[in-house]
Amino acid sequence: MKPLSRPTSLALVAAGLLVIGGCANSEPGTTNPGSAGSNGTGTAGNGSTGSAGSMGAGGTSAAGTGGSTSATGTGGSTSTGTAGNGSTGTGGSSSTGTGGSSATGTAGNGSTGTAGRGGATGSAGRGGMTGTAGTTGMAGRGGTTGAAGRGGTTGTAGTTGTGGGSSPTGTGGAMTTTTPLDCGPNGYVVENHGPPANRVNYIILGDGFTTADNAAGGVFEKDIANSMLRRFSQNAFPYNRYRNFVNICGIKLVSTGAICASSTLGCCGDDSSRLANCNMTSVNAAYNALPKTLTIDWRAVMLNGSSWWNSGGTTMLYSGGNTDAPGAALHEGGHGFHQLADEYGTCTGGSCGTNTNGSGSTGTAYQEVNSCGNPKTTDGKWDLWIGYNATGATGVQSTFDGSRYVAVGAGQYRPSANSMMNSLFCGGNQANCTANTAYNQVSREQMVMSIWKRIHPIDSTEPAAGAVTSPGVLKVNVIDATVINVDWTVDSNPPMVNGGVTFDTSSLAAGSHTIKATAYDNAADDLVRYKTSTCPSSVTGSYCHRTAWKNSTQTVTWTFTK
Amino acid sequence: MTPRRWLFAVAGAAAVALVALLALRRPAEEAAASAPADQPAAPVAAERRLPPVPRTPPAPETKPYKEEVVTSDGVPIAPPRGEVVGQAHPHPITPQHERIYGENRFVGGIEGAMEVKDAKGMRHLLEQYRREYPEDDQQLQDGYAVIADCIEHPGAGPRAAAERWLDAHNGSTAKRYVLRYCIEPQQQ
Repeated sequence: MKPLSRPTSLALVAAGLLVIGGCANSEPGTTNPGSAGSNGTGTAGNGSTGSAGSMGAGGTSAAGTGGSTSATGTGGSTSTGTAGNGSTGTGGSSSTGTGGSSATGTAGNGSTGTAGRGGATGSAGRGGMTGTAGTTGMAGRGGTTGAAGRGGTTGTAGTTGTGGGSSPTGTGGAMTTTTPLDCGPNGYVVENHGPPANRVNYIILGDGFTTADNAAGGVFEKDIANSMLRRFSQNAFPYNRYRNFVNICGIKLVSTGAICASSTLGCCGDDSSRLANCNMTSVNAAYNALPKTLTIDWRAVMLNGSSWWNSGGTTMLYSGGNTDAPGAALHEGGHGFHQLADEYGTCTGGSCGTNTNGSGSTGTAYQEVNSCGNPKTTDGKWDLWIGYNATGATGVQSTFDGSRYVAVGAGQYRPSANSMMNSLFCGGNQANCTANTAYNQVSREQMVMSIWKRIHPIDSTEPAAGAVTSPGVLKVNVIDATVINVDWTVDSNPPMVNGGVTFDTSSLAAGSHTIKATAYDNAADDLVRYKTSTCPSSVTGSYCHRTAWKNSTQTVTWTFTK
Repeated sequence: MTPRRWLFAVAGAAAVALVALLALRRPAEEAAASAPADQPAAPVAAERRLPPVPRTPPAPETKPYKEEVVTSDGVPIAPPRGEVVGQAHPHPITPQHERIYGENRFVGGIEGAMEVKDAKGMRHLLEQYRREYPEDDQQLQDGYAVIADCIEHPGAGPRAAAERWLDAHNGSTAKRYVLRYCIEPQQQ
C-alpha cells in the first residue's frame, strides 16, 4: 500500500516519540513476604496482624487451608486444601487443592487443583497437572498489565480461584515469577509469557489516541481488551491453546489529533475500498524506536475510530472501535501474519456455493494454503482434511465452491462453508459469534506452523545441556508444559514417553550415561495433519509454512558419569 | 499588483482554502462515525461485553454514506459505518486488496525458501518483490538479501552486513531471521 503523503506528520511523529512519557509497562505485583511458622496438620486461624498480617505471609497446612493475608501479604500454601489470597500480594499455592487469588499481585498455583485468578495488575496462577477447569474453561487471565495464567495438563486454569481460609503460622505461598516484558517507554504489556527471543511478539501501535485515550482504563486499553476477548475465545482457536507462545505489547503513541487529521502515524481509511492506510515511514520509525530486546514478529496498527477500515498486509491495520473490530483483527491477522487468502468469491458466507465433494471445474493453484483450484486433489493443500468434521466450529472440511475472489463455478474452492476468513461478523455482539466463524482446520494448521516458524519448544535447560557432573535432577523449561510433551531417553533404552519436564538421575546405575530430552508439540491429528515438513507440489519449490513443523521438536542431550 | 497577478492570487487563496476544507472534512466524518451506538445490549451480552468506550462526540453535520459498490450476488459490502446485520461481504475486491495480498505472498514465499535455506530461491523471489514493491513499506527487502547472503556465504562479511542492517531496522519482522541465520549459532 502506498504511504500517504503527509510530510508534516513525519515531524509530528518524531516529536511525538520524544515527548511521549509515562505509561511504562507494568509488572506483576510483588510482595514483601514475612516468614512464619508451620502448622503440620490442622487449619490455622486468621492472621490479620503479626506474621500473617498486612506485610506478612499466609500459613502452611498439610491437609488444611492456607492462610489469607491482608493488604500486602502473601497467600498461604497447603498440601491438599485451598490456598490463600493476597489482596495486593501473592496468592497461595496448593498441591492438590485450589490455588489462591490475588487482587493486584500474583495468583497462586494448584498442582492438581484449580489455578487462581490474577488481580488487576498482577499475574494469574498456574493450573495443576490435572487441574479442573475454571468457570469459563479458559486459562486464567492475567491482570490488566500482568501476565496470564496457564492451564493444567488436562484441565485449564480457573478464572475464579478460591481463596483460602486462614493460618496464623506457616510459610508463605509459592510465587510465580515471569521476567518483565520490556515494551518500551510507551509500552503497555497486554500478554507476557516469557523471553521475547523465544516467543512470537505481537506489537500493536495505537494511532489517533490522545493522552486521555491512553490513560489506564482508557479507550486504547479497552479496545485492545475487547479484541483479546475474542482472540482467546474458542472461536479463535488455536490462539487460546498457544496463548503462552505469544507476547503482546500495546504501544501508546500519543496523537494530538484524530486519525485522518493530525494523528502520529497519519492513519486514515477509505470508505469505498474499506481499506485503512497509514504513513508507513512513521509506522516504521515507531517500530524501530522500540527496545532492541524486542524481536518483533507481528505488526499491527489499531486506529482510534469505529469505521470499518482494515487492511491485511504484513503490518495489519484495523479500526479498534468498530463493533466487529475483534473479528477484523483476527481476519486481517490471517492475511498478514498467516498468509491466508479470503475464502469468498463474489458471494460470501455459508450459503455461498455448495460443497462439491471433490468435483467441479479446475482453476488456478494459487500459493495460499486455504484456497485451491483442483477440487479432486485440493492441490495437495488439504486432502488430509477432507471429510473431517470440525464440530462446534466450521463443520465438515471439503471443497466448497467460490473462494479467493473467484466466482462460484469458476474453479476456486475453500475448505469449509464459512470461516473466519470468510464472513467473520457476529451481528454486532462478539458473544453471539456463530461457531462457523471460527478458523477452519486448514487455517488452524497454518496458524500453528506460523508459530513454529519462529520459535522452538525449549526456553532453557537446567543444568545446561552437554557434559555435566552429578546433575541430580535434569530439567527442560518448555514454553508451555500443557502443549509441549517431553520424552526422556537414557542411553539406548526405550524412551519414557511424556515423562514430564524433569528427570531424576538418582535411580541410574553407576557408570557413563547419555540422557536425551525430546520436547515436542503434542498437537493431535485434529489440529495438525501435515507433519512431514514438506510443502504441496502445487506451491513452487518448498515455499510454504509447513516446513516449519520440524521446529516443533527439539532435543537436548546431557552426558555424565555417575 | 496587476489585475492579472491579483486574479492569480485570489485563485491561489481559493485553492488553499479548498484543500484545507477537504482536509478537515474527513476527521469530522470519522469523528461522527466514532460515536457509540445507542442501542441496548441483550442481558447475556451485557455480561460479556466491555462497557462502551466514550469517543469523540459526533460533528454536528455529516454526509450520510451511500453504498457505491454492488456485488454480483446482491449481498452488500459491510458498511463503513455501523454494524453488520445479516450477510455482508467484508470488503469489495479492489486492486489495492490484490496488491496487499500479493505482497503477503512474496513474504510467505521468501520466508518459506529461507526455512529450507534455499538462498537462490529467496533471491529469485526477492528480485520480483523489489521490482513490484519498490517502496518496501514493510522494511523487509534488504533484510532478506542479508539473510540470503548469510545462508549462501556464512562468514564475517555477511555477519557485519547483518549487524549494520539490524542497527537500522530494529522494528522489521525480518529481524528474528537475520539474528537466526546471521548472528546466532544455528539452533537446528
